[in-house]
Amino acid sequence: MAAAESPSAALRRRDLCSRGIRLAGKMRADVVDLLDAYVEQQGLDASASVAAVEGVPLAAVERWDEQTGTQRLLENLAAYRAFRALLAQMLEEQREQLGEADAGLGRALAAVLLQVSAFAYHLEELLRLESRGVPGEEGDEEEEEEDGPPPPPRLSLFEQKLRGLGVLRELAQWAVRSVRDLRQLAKPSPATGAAPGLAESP
Amino acid sequence: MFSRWNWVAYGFYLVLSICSPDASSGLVQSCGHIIPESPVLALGSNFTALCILNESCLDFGNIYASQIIWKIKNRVVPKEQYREINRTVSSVTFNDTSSLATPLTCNILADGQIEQNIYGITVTVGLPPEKPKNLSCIVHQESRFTYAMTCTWNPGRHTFLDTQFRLRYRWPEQIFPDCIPKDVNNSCTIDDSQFFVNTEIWVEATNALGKAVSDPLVVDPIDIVKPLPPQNVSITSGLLPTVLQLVWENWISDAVMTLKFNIRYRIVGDTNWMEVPPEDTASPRTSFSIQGLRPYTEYVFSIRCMKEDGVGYWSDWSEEKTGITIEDQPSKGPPIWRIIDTSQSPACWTVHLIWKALKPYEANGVILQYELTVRDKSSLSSPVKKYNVTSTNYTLQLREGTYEVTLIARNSVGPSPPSVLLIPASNSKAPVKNLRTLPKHDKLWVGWTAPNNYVLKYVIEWCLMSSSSDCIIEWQIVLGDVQGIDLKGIKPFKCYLITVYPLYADGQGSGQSVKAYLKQDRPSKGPTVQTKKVGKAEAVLTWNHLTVEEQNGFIRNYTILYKTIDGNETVVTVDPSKTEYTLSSLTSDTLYTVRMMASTDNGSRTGPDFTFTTQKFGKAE
Repeated sequence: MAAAESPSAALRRRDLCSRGIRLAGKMRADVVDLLDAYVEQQGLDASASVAAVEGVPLAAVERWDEQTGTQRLLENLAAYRAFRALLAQMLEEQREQLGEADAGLGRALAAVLLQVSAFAYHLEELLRLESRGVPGEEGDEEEEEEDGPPPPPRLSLFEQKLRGLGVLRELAQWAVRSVRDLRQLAKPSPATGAAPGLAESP
Repeated sequence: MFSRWNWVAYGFYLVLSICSPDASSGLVQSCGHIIPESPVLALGSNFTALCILNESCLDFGNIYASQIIWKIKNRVVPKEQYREINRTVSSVTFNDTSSLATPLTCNILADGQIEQNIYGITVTVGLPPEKPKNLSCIVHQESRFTYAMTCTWNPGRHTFLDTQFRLRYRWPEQIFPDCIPKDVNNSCTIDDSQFFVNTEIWVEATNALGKAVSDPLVVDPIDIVKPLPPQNVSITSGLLPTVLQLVWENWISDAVMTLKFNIRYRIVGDTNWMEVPPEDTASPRTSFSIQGLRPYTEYVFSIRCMKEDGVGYWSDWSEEKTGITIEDQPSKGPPIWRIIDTSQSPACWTVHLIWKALKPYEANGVILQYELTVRDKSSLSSPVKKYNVTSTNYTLQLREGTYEVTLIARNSVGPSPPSVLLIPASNSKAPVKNLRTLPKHDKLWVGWTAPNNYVLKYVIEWCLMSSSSDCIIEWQIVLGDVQGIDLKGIKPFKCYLITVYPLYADGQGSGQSVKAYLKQDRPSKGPTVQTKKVGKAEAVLTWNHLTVEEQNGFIRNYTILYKTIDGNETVVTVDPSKTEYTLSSLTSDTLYTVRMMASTDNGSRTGPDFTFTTQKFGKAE
């Protein structure tokens, strides 16, 4: 049952959505710039096609309009949490490869990582506003060494580079999708006073 | 030879100096120590130190806590502040640390009345930090893609201690490294800031006496941005003479924020800026056409920007750029007049046509030439004569008659409207009435009464009268509804001849003239009087009028003053038009001295004395 929203909660949601939309917009612009620098710096071909990289969530989704607002938020949150881990790994690989040599690319990656973290926080806040518990993160700080699946094998240098390309491309797509999702969420409600699509998922 | 007692004293002294405090060496056991070691104390608080003697030192004979003398910087602390805790410990108390200085030493008066230092500590007195206040932050755009946030705050009162300030900031789920100010204690700059997340910022001040934290500031850095001004500003002209187009580059992408603008402009050489109405530039753009400008005029432009919703700070004004509007046709014909010289023969005129160059806002460009057309109105078959002139005058020889002169000024765009001057055969129409002048402070006002309602324009001529050179005419044309003007540039104490002519559609009135002074003064010289003929009882005096340069005003009268050596002076007033006067009823065979005074409204001046002697005998005698 969707609870009626208090005016302050509605205001807060609108504020989070609007800033989230702008953050996603800037994130996309920064990722596109970063992609250009990444491709050049890593010596890759800009048109190289990268197969869907394991662990990278796909932005494209069928039947987008059938999703509820909550589902969208949850999917976004899962995606950005995954990106946070992937970008952190890319940064680590960067440092291993080049030491501190290319500060520019490293800084740009770190800035995008910060924005991804910030966006994930916006999503968590939006979920909290719906009195919806925020799902815990999986396998984050507490490494489950005994119980979890074995860590993936180390990729070769070239595979690392391709993977990075795939991550950034998909992140750019996600930024576009997030803007659409947040715009949908921010729309004023029809009769009831509750925003559309916030009904509990079945 | 030293006595045995001296050896003991010497040995004692030796031991004590070995024992004197050298905390860093650690090799020598000191005789005692003070606690606390190197305290940092709050100003105005109270403080107690203890000097603890080592047992081993006491063995050197008669050293007790009661013999301890405390000193601050070699000034003895009053004994009232001491307390003997036990045989080996002495304390000193200060009720107000303001009286404390560094170092504080514990000394002992040994047996031989020799004061020995046992230990010393450095004391630092200061204040805990005050809560930092007035924290404010601004994000400066430093280059196309980098933004630095600078925060400033009021650090509070001086603490007299080494106080560290740190600027701290965080997101709800992310903490960032502290910003440590460099060389100052009231500002810090964070190199890279992220937009669209509410950031909590605060300042912490820490020293040995405590810590103070400012109130936090919660702000989204996108709302406190001062952008760089628009770059690569350029001006394009050539569309219309009243329009210039401004083009620039914005160095902030739309993904970060959309901008609004202020554009200001002024004419080169002018100090007043005009502004394009802000409503017209309140949305994102990279060019703007400014309208309503003057043709052929150089303007200076400058532009600034800020976030479109007005939250944040305006950028600095951009680099100034100049542009010139293109030329337009002149808006007016030049005012034209004439000076006719009939001295050679009355039927053959030398006509000097004179006109004034257009002002820049009338010329609307560079005047390339003037075109004169002279039409003989009295002879219809006579051809029209045309002349192209580049100066502002032209002299013609014309037969007496009626002529119509048309003048246009031409620039690269086209001609001005024509100015027309009618030169009638005679100035037979009605002249102005009641021509008068009135000095007004630094201008001379000339006024007249219109003869009738048909006057189109009036021409006012004025020239400086001089005995040595020609009267050089200055002139001005005013409209027919005007009955007075102020003449500027009139010099005081100089005589001007002013003439006014009314111009009609079909003729001209004769000129009415008046002489005038802006300000009068006494003459600079007095008349030089001498005798023309001297008789027995009369003398004919003669003099010359003063030159116009000597008069300094209208001569209202002459005064003749004459007397004998021992007689009274006789004064006679004479009309200023006269140059001769006969003195009568003089005494014969007498020496007379005569002098003359010329008077204007503002004073008189007397000329040199002249002496003459009347004759002894008359003509017939």
